[in-house]
Amino acid sequence: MTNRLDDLIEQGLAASFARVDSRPPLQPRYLASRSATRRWRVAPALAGLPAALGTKVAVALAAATIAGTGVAAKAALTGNPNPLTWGGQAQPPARACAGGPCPGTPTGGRAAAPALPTPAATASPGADRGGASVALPSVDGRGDAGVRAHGAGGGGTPAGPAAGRHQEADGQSPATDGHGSHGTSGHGASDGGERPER
Amino acid sequence: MPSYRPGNADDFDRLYRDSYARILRTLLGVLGDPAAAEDCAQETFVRAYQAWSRWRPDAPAEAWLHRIGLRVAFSHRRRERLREVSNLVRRLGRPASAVDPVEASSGADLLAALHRLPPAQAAAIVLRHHHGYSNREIAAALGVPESTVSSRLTMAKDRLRRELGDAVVELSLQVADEPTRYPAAAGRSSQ
Repeated sequence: MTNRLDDLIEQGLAASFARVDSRPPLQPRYLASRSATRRWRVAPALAGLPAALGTKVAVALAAATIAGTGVAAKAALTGNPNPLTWGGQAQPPARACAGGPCPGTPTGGRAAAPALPTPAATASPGADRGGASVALPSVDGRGDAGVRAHGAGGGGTPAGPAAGRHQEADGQSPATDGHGSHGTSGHGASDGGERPER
Repeated sequence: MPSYRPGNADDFDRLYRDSYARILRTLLGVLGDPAAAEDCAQETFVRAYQAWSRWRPDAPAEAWLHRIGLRVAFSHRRRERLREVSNLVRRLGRPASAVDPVEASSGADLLAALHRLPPAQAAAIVLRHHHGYSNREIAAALGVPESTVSSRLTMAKDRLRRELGDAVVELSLQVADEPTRYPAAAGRSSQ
């Protein structure tokens, strides 16, 4: 009986399996894992390259853009693209404010009036036109020539014959003649150092 | 026995070509579903390929593959059983259908009966009666002692006899009139 059962099982299994296509597929699944494994082995050195390069390029471009913008802005302000000459155009604040308190500096309320634009002051050539004057310190120690930040009211009345005149900085000629600015603004506006006419 | 070198990709390709059909049939005997058997066979070779460099030639490569494949199939059957819980509940109380001797002779019912066996017993039956494995080879494939293989085979046959019922008696009488054939031995010699 057991042998007959064995025969029955063998015949039954053979008949069942004969109906099933047991040929191995030409594209077995393990081949995909093989190629994935190869990619994984090759990839580590190269996988992060595009991202790293992309980040570095982006950072470099951003730095170059910021630096270029700063240089261009400074060159436009100073009129000189050479960065070595930018600092030489600063004017010492002490001379710029000679004869009175600088506008915008704390004076205890006593000297507030001169800093305000008045019709009379505006009308007179070379008068302060209400702008706060901030003198940048000289970086080369040469003295008084420099760039002066004009106030909001810097562009009003023509500044007279000295308008646009460019005076060489010699360290001894403070801008107290009321004729105009020193530096590169080209407005000819008298500012900061000169006392408004009263 | 063909020789393979662990970790060699070409040898694994050869092992795949040589062993795929036998692995597939074993898994078909355990699972009873050709699609599931093919899926598990493919998964078997994926796992085997991942472990190919660790295979030791002191064990037959096909027994090693069977061990991996049966583990995959057992897991599949466990999940399948969980999915079938609702179906089993629906079928409770329904009378069992009679076994058709013609169907049994075609093997379809035998596969169904195998599928109802514990998977380790079904695997032992297929390995012995289709692949012609010895108890030692079955023990290597299942990862159990040889004594366990003997007891599993005995239990599996007892249960098959009960499952197939009268069909066994009827067909065994027919088989007794025919010359004995050994498809398993023929299958092995062709490899």
